[in-house]
This record gives sequence, C-alpha cells and structure tokens, in this order.
Amino acid sequence: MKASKLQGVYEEGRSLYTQNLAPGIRVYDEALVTVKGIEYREWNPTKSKLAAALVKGMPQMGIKPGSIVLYLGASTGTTVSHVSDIVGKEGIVFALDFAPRVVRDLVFVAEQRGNIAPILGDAAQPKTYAHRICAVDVVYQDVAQKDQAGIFIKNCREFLMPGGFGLLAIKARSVDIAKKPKQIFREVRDQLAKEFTVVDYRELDPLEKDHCLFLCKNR
Amino acid sequence: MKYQYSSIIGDVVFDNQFHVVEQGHNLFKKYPNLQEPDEHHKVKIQMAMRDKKFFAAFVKDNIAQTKQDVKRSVIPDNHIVHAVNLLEELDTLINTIVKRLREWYELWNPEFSKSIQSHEKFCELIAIKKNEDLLKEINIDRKHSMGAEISPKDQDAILQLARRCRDLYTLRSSTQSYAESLLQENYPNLCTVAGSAIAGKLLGHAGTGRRLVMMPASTIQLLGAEKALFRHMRNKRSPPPKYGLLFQHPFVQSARKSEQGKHARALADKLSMAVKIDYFKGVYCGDRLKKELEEKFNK
Ligand SMILES: C[S@@+](CC[C@H](N)C(=O)[O-])C[C@H]1O[C@@H](n2cnc3c(N)ncnc32)[C@H](O)[C@@H]1O
Repeated sequence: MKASKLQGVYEEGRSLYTQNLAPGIRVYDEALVTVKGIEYREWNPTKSKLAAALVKGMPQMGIKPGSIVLYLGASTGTTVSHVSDIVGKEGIVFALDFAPRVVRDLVFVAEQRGNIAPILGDAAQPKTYAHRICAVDVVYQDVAQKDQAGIFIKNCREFLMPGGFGLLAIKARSVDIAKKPKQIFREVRDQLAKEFTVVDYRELDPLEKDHCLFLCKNR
Repeated sequence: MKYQYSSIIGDVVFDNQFHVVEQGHNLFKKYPNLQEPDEHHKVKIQMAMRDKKFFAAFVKDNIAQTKQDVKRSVIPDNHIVHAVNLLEELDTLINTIVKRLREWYELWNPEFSKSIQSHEKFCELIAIKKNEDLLKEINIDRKHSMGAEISPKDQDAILQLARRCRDLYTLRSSTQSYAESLLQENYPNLCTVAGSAIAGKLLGHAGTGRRLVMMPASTIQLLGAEKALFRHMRNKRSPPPKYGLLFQHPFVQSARKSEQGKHARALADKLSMAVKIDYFKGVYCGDRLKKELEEKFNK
C-alpha cells in the first residue's frame, strides 16, 4: 500500500483505497485491507464516480485532509464515506439528499464516523439548508436531475469559498435522453465556463456509461 | 452594532466585522438591539461558521434534525407502495411454490390435483382434508390411483408446504384489502377512475402521490412503458409506445385497436385530474370524471 499523488488516497496495484475512519466497519460491500496495523477500504470505481474519474486520470479533486465539503446527492453514502475518510477528523462533510429512504441509511453511516453531517433536503433550494452548514472548500454534486448544472452553480454561488473547487457529475440521460452525451457534456462545459475555471473533465465510460465529471475552480 | 444568526447549532451573535461574539442557546435576549443580517452579510456569516470548533456540533445537530425529518417523512403513500409491491412479489412467490407443491403432491395423488384447477382451492383442500376423503370426493379407488404409497414423513413434508401456501393466499388477500382501503381513504377519485389495482400500480411506479401529481398526463399515459419509450427516443424508427400499465384498464381494453392510443390519452388526462383532486383534498367527484370519460367516446 502506498500513498498516491492525492493526499488521503492510497494505491495498491490498480486499486484505490482510503484509510478507514471507522475501522472494522464496511459501508457497502467494499474490501477492507489492513497493512501495518492501518485499515484501508477499497474504493470501487464502478460504484463511485469520483473514484472512476481518478482512475480515468483526473489529476486532482480539491478534497484533502481537513477539507470542508458539501456533498449534494449523497444517497446511502457510498462515495460520501470515502470523502469522509479523506477529509478525516479535521474535516467535515455536509451530505445532502432529498430521498428519505436513502437518508435513513446515510444517518447510520454518519453516526459511525463523526465527520458527516447528514441533511434531508432539496439541492435545488439552497436557502432551506443554509443555516445547517457553513461556507465550504469543495462542492461535490451527483444528483442525476434535469437541471444539474443550474443547481450546482446556485450552490457554489451560495456556499463555495473563493478559490474553492467544484466537482460536478453529469448523467447525460437525465438531461436529455434524445441528445448525444458528447453534446450535452459540451453544453454543460460552456455553462460552467461562464462561472468558473473548468480545470478538468473526464468521461467515465466504461466505468459509468454516459457520465462525466467536471472539476472547476471558483474565481 | 451586533447581529443575530440562528444556526442549527444554536444562536450566534456577530460583531459588525462578523466575528463570532458568542454562540450558544437562547442567546439573543442577553443582547439588546440585535440586527437581522441582510443577504450580503450572509456570505461573511457562512465564512465565520467555518470554525473547527463548530464541527462537532454541526455533525451532532444535523444528525438529530435529520432523524426527526426522516421520522416525519413517512406518509400513507409509503405503506400503499409497499403493500402494492408486496402483492406483486407474493404473486410470483406463490406461483413458484404452488407449482412445486403440485408436482410433489402428484407423486402421491395425481388424480385429485388434476381434478381441481384453482391453485388456491387446491392448497386449501389438501391442507385440511384427509387424503382418503379427497379420493372419495372424486370417486377414485386408491388401488386404481397412479399415486404412490408414500411414508407419513413424506406426506407430512408435502402438507407442511401446502399449509404455508394456504397461509400465503391468506396474506395475499389481507394485503389486498389493506391496500385497497388505504387507496380508498387517500385516493378516492383516482380509485374510481382507475380501479384500485391500477391506482395502486400508478402510485407504485411514481413512488408517491406527490410525484404522480407533478407528472404531466402524457407521462402518466406511459408509466410502465419506459423501456419502449427509451428505445423510441434513442432510435426514432422504433415506434413510440401508446400506453403502459393503462393498457390493463377496461376503457382501453374495450376500445378498438386503432383507438386504444386515443383512449389511453383521454384516460391519462382524467387520472391526472383525479389524483390532483385527491392530493389537494378536493371534494369527491370520481363518478362524474368516470362518466365524462365514457361519454366522450360514446358519441
Ligand atoms: C446517482 S445518486 C448519487 C450516488 C452517490 N453520489 C454515490 O456515488 O454514492 C443520485 C442521488 O441524488 C439524489 N437527488 C436527486 N435530486 C436531488 C435534489 N434535488 N436534492 C437532493 N438530492 C437529490 C437522489 O435521491 C439520489 O440519491
């Protein structure tokens, strides 16, 4: 097991790992590996778009030990748990989803880890949860909604620190299933470029079909 | 000048530079003349709240709040959807194991099994009656039966399964009544226009009544036909679907083939109206809606 170029992310062979903040506990069905007394959780790129982007060569992600992250579309906490591992005890992840069913599981994950603040809320209405969070270093969004880019921009304007990073996962089919994914990605890119510096962009095929992840930097 | 801010972690008082003066519970009455911050102060406040000493409280208080929110999120629709989905699962499950039961039982008494078509009646009868009596009922002499002599242990294993099948039928029917009564209570208009079976399936597909209410009628018309719809949108040579689960409705079933699409469209319109009336607790007018639908095509 060795440290990767990214702080808080480890590699062994072709697999990525994060150091388990809650040793002994699995969040989904990931493998746990102990090396020299430290437990790591395998970070599966077919289950996490962020891991997929890293595997596809995204050079940075803005999330590091101590970061404050707003995660929109947290679901049951698969990716959130790895972000929680990376930011560690000094950081915090505000994890939001609007579906009570998945938030129920997310709360259990939060209770095991100590650095996840779960929120049942609608990402399209940042004002409704503004009093529950603070300004953040990173906004990560994966909501598979029609107006994904609009929701993302609204949240970044409201909560992202100057110089902070925004990560946006786009699912082409939820924007418009009739259009070609490439074209949708281009349109989103143009929309983001008006607001941020688009630092990197990775299509996630074949790990996630018709998805891509944008990395932006706030000006 | 000092400012007050209500955060999930409690009250926070800021000075005019937006540094935190104090944070705690029920603070504001300690300070006279606190101001409400306006929109552009909010940015500074959000930044001041980044202090590490607040993190533990952010985690703890958000967990507590979210638990309450999840608790309060449960609505009748959740129960309806579980019951409707359970019905479908029970049908599959019962079908699978009753087939197994028949095959197994027919080693012992094939004639009785063949004499009775209804799976449910079959399970009921073999679970409660003695084998000799069943043979008598169909006038078969044990000697002429193709059924093998099997040990009491074998018989018991088969009858155990029969009793479980019978229990599952009971569960199925009580679940159905339960779903129907919830649907009647919460979606009376939708039930009248759609029938409770289709009303349940519509809700099952949408997940909640709220989502069904937000759907345009054209989406309701195609619920349950998602696969065909996606196929059509990716490849226009594949024909667009005309209906999904509305196909099961008598109003669509009874229409001429060439008219079924039109009927599904009109039905979807009425369903959309019906569910809106239910959702916003309007007065019952299901019978009128149904009549309008039927009259529209009878002219
Ligand atoms: C594809 S899943 C996210 C998976 C997750 N990012 C992971 O990798 O573990 C999308 C999630 O976004 C949520 N979602 C969709 N629209 C939302 C909105 N407007 N506000 C909050 N959550 C939303 C859905 O409930 C769903 O759980």
